[in-house]
Amino acid sequence: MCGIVGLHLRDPELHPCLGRLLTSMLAGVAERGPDSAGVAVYGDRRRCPEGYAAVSLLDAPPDLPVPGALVTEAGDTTVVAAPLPVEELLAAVTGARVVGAGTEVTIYKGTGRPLDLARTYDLADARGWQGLAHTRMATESQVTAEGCHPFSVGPDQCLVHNGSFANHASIRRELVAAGVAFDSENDSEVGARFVAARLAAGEDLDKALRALCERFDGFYTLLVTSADGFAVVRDAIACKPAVIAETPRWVAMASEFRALAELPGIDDARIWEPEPERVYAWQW
Amino acid sequence: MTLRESATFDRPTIAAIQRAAETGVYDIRGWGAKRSVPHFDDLLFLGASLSRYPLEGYRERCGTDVVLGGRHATAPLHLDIPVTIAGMSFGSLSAQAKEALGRGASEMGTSTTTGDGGMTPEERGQSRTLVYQYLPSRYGMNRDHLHAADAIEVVLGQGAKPGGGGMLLGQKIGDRVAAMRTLPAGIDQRSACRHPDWTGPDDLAIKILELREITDWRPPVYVKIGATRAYYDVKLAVAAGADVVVVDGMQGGTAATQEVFIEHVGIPILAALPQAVQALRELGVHRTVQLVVSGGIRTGADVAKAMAMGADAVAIGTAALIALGDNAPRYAADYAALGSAAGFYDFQDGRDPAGITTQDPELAARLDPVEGGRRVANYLRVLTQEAQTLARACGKAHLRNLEPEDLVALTVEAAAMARVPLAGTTWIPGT
Repeated sequence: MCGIVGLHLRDPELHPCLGRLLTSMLAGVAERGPDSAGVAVYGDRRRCPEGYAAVSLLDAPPDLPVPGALVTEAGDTTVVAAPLPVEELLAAVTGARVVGAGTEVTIYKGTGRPLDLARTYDLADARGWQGLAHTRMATESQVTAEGCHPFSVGPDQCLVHNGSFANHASIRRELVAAGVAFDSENDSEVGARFVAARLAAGEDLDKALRALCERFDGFYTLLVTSADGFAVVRDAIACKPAVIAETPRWVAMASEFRALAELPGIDDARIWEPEPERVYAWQW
Repeated sequence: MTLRESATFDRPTIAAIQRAAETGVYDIRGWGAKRSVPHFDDLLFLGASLSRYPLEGYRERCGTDVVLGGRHATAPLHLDIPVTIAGMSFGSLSAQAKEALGRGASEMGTSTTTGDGGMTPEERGQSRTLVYQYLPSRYGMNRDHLHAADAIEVVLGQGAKPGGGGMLLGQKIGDRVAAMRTLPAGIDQRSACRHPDWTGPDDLAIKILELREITDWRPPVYVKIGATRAYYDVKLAVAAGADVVVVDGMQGGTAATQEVFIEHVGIPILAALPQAVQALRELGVHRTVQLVVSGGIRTGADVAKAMAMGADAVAIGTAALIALGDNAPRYAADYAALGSAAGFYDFQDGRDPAGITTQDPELAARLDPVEGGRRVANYLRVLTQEAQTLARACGKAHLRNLEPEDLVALTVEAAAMARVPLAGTTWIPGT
């Protein structure tokens, strides 16, 4: 059991409202995942300025040796932004538990009630062009900040999952054998690592998620985002709820319609339930 | 006074000593190990509940197909179900039985396998997919049959007798069997325990290349081993070039040999399977080189458990003969006349009342290949449906997505052998 919301803003006039819109969406799925919640914000230049890279860390040590860094703490999460390439920033925080990295995205994770966490993350104040949030009811892994979604295992990538994979142990073994390292026991991380490996190999979101459908068994509604994409896919039975809405100003998805109800122009939006095993991808 | 039987010198042991003393010859039989060994029965599935979701049996797909042999062969086998018929020779079985197995397997879209002694036209004709065994004895081996095969199984050993050869009694060697093997009729035939063309995996690699050259790299090449040092043997089979590795556990039952061999050599499939999977994983070829396991497969639960432990498919022998009619109660009087009973007959003496493990024309005529084929198909259908039932309960849309994490063990022994946790714990002995 989990709740997912995601919003891609096409209209720059809406960018200052990202956090407010996302917070109202998160409120619509808070009951679906009362354990914990995670958020990703793309393009907030106060959190990750132009020309900077940002890493999101859990339980960061107090003295990170990153000169000139912009450090913000939000509950369990610490975001460190610095005018360095992503790889150099990652190298500088070796030893810390990295839960996200990129030049666009900042990620926040923690345990507790979703709306409390939204305040901890200062979500309502976030600006940017894309964001997503996940509320979690843990199934077979512990309620910890590490177990929170989104799983961000490639640059500016995020995956949030509602459901449970049925063959993730086998796929994890294959990925481990191929040299992929894991941070958690969470089945959703296996999906994120699988997609990241595909994207790293040059596939686009559409192709990577088609491959995921081929390989993964079980139940899933997934929202996967990147610096240039926003994609939704569901399992063959479409077990877990999902609704997508689109207007010229934005694309949004949520586990339940009520999470979309307050978006501007929702009355005129094209709204539909995504089909099973069909990838809905927006890339730009 | 209460009589107390000795656990060491129990009645079967006493009878065996008495029989040996009277006859001066060791006992030969089929039917595999009769002793109790840790088996798939000692494992249970963790069905879906709240943390996972089961699939609905009547409308939600649970795939069963499998592709075998794509590593090097240009024409891998595409089977509809992961249950195949194991190698059993024409000679040990009647021509009618071989044909019936082919009919049943073909109806269900799976393969059947020849055996020591060559390929019969009945079997080839009625088998959509026929695996041709290449055996140490070389009985009946010929180039035409290699060309007619859909796959070639190089047999290094069998679960019933790893390290040993077979024994076909003279009464089962009629003129046709003798002609195919180019050996005299009516005289006991021993099959070799090792193939003269290879002394190890280095030579085996050359032999496999030779078979590929003869068949133009078309059919997959399997390597079948009896389960002993499965970890090393599977690695060597892969090194020698196998497309598919077949591991036969000690319960493997249709091969006839000395009783002492059957009961005291080899390991149960439960213990061999994780070794085989470990070997394939370490080589990075698990699922690329397929693993077929056999030796005591009886139910869809056995099929599903073998697949969850990492097998790509299973093979059945004894169970297929039982499906054909072996040990049927309707022949009770005939079994009694042989000094056996329905449920105890262990194949060897050639006077099978059910017409299956015989070359006696009158007995063999009792088995109608069409009816026998229907029974085999029915049984394969049930095995598959049972396996699907369990897979769906575990939330799997395909049998191949079963995994060891779906299993727990009922006994410490099974947990250690199968490398799955003891039920209710996270404890896997030895890890």
